[in-house]
Amino acid sequence: MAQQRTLLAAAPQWSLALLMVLTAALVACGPPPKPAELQELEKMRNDSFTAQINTAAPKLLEQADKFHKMAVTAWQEGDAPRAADYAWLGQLRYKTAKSKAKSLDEQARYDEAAAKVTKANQEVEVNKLKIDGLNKSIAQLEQTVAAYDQNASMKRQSTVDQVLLTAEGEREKAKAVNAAELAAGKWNFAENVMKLTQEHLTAGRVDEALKSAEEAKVAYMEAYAVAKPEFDKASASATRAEREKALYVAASSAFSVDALQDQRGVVVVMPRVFDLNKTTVLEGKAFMLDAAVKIATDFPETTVMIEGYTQSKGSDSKNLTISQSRADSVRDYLVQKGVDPKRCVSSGYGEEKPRYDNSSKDDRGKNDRVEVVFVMTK
Amino acid sequence: MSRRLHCDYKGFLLILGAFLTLLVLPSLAAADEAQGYREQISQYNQKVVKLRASENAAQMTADLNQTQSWLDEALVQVGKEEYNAVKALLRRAEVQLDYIEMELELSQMKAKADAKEAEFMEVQTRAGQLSNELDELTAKEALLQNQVSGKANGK
Repeated sequence: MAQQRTLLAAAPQWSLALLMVLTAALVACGPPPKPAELQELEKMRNDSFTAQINTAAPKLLEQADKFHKMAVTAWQEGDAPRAADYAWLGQLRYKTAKSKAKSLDEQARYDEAAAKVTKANQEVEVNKLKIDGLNKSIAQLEQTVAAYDQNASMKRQSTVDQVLLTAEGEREKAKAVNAAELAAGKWNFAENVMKLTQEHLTAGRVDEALKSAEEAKVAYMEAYAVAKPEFDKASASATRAEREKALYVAASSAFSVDALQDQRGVVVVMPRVFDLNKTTVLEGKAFMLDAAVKIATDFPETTVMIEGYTQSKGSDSKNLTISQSRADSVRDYLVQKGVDPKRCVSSGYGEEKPRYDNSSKDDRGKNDRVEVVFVMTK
Repeated sequence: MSRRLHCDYKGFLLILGAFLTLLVLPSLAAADEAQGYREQISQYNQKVVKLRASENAAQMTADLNQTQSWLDEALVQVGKEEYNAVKALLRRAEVQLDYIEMELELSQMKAKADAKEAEFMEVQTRAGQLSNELDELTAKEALLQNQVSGKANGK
């Protein structure tokens, strides 16, 4: 009984020992721990990339799976080194397959980029063509604008030239009345503005030149307006005697004979200008009339009195008529040559006031004459 | 007597021939197998050289060196006629070389794709510049056309 109790009391320890022995036996007979290489390969196979690899590199994946099976078999057979070796080969195959899949991805990325490059290059070429076309169009338009501008510039230049010409004319007028002294302020201003006009023209500033040329023209006109009355006044008072003297010299020189001076003025005698009983000026004597025209022009302050005379032959009334006609003929000639008709007065005196001896056959003809008297009026 | 002797002689020759055949054939077969492995090792060595010369090979130097060492070891094992070891080494070398080759191909393809994308960026930038230039020129043309029509109308 006691022996039985002792055995029953020791039963738990035996059971434990038996369990341990059985466990040890099981562990010893079962496969060894799974090699790390095999674990890693299985981890790779569960990778989310596997589906993509299966599409891209099915044969390589198949080979990886084959190595996996061989590794598992070797492990189950307890050959851990062989299992590790196959697992390592499986890993490499799997990685190769993955690289292949990635390589195809890169190829796709390359193809996509290449397509984009082609499209963008086409766009570049199209834009280049458009730009070329636009550049040509712009060049033509710029030429057109330049032509318009040049035309406008030429028109402005022409206007400037006209205004300048007018200003120069006004300048000469002002200069003739001694505006430089009599209207010094206005004259100097006008001169400066004229100089400025030239500077603008030299620099090609046509608009400014036009403006200042106008200004100069007005300034010269004002200078003239200021100087003119003073000039006239001074001329009238200071030079009458000198002008009379000049008139006498000019008349003597023009007719190649000494002119006469009487209380009326300077007298030029033109004998034998007409044939007997004729009123037409002899062709060879026209130069004398031209000389009279010149003196009348050079001395605008004179009145021109034209007097006709005849010799004593013939009736008085006829001679009077002829002498008037002769005086009128000379007057018409002068007027025709530009002498103001208001300045010309013609009179016929017949055989009155003979200058030569009517009883002498040689001298009598000289009384068929015209006398021109230049009378100073100012 | 002589006839018997003659028969014995022929039998001896047959036995000798069979013996020699059994003796020589395996060694001939073994010689062929070794030669086959040497040729395979040589081919793999050539592949190693080729891969070393390729672009981006530097990144795979360790793997190439390892493969080279396996091939060297395989050659040693061929000399020792340890053909199982040779087979295992050559299998490793083959798988490793495939992997290296594919990695290098990937690397080259990646570089090619990167270059093409960079080229695209350049072309795209150029296209953008030209597009801007086009806009400016179009505006300039319109301005000039307005100027011309204005001048033609005397403005």
